[in-house]
Amino acid sequence: MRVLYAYRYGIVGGVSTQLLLRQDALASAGHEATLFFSQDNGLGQFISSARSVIFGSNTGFGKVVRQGNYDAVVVIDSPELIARASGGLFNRNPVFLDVHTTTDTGLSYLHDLDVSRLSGVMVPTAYSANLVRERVGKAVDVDVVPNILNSSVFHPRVELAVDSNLPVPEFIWVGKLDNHKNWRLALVYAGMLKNMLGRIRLNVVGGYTASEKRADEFFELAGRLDILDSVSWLDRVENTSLAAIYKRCALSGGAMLVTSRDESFGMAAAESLMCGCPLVANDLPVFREVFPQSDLVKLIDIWDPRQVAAAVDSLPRGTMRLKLVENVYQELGQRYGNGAFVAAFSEAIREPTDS
Amino acid sequence: MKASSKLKDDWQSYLIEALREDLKSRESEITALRNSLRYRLGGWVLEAWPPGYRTVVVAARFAVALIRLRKGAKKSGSGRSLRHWDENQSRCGHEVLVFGKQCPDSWSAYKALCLDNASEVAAYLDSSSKPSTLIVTRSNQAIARRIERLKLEGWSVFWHRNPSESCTDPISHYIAAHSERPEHGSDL
Repeated sequence: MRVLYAYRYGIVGGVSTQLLLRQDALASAGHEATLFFSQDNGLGQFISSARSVIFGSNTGFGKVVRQGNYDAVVVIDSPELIARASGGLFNRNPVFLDVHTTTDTGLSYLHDLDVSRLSGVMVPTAYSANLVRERVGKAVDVDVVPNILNSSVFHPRVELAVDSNLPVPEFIWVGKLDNHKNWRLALVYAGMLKNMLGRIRLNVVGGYTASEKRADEFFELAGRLDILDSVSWLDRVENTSLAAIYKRCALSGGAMLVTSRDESFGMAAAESLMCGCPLVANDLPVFREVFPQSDLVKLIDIWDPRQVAAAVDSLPRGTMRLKLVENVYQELGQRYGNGAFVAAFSEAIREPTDS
Repeated sequence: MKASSKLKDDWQSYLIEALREDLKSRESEITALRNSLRYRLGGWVLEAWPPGYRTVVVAARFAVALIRLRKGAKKSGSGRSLRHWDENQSRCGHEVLVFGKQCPDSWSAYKALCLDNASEVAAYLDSSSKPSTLIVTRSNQAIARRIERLKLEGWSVFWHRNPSESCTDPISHYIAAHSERPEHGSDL
């Protein structure tokens, strides 16, 4: 099977990283996947030449499609690429749409799209499937093709380079400093936790592309909350380092804070769980779907400080945490492993699986 | 006694502030959607029909919008370093990188590269593959936001503020708190 994935943004992280994982999964199942990005927003410098990854214009995408003869061209949230995805007049490729965005603005393009001309629509969760059906009606099948979690990097046995003597509870918050991620709330709760527990550390991971104004707002709020010494802003971090931070948070008795008002999947939160780091997260429908029921997962009303405080108080620690970690890791690995993705993807494009 | 029982109500004002920002961002999302060409086109089509004088006005408006769209609204002011540092300059044997006009006296024994332009330093830091030592002599958000990442990559970061400059801003406090060895413990 030959697959072409096409997406607008070639960024480090997010959907782009997911596509690299999917490319590897398809390759290990004996298929061939090429990735096309119409913008290089920093991904190019991290891609080895051995990978089949193409950066080009929308016109260039048309050429790639015509030359490729693909079994499936999957366009992700990039309506401008859909018209060119089917290829030449006498050599049409089946075109699929993969919807990863979940915001109203992001999904608005679906209102103008003639989905009946597509071979199918894919989404990573049942939650997303409902959002898409609300906008496109019943004209087309919507298949759930789950994301892949990178279990080779994010796992409970991550080794820490530094000694494991962790003097203060550490917490982690991951995301761009976007408003819909409610980064301000994370800082407010860092202040509250410092008040509650004494010394703490909040690792804020992300925000490499944040504007100067946003960065100034970040430092200003942290200053007012008196947490400048408790907050560590890591504007970008490699996955292996990120896994180590998750592990450190877990061992220190801390957790990952998720304050977002909306998530399409919760990749970072799932990766945190894979490393044994508990979650204190906003109770979003997609989280109920993606995360297994466990004491490691505290889904709460994130706007209620008492619920946040109670969740942090009741985090499983020590041997109690260890007992839960392996179950969660196994369950997530099974549901969001390479095999689950390849099986669902093959089903979605009506290709029988080899296994 | 559980830690949460010590929780006071003085976080309410901060929560309200965060909630207001959240509401503001939701409103701006709706405004952005309404201002989008996709949204406005629907209204224009209704205005332009039946053919007449309004059709000409709408066609002109459409042409202007298309020209603007083609020019593209480029985002600016992000934390990304705008220029790429010439790697050859990094290989000139400098032992320390100084963000400031001159190297502090206590580091005069080292071969220092002094850069006073924050975006130049940011470009150096983002493209440098070999961890080294960074000496920060003044407050700047582009440098502050990189400090923890640099430390993770193996850099040593020192805060040597210029005593003549005021240092009461949160960014200076952040740099001082996250640098390895503040120059003067009681400076801030």
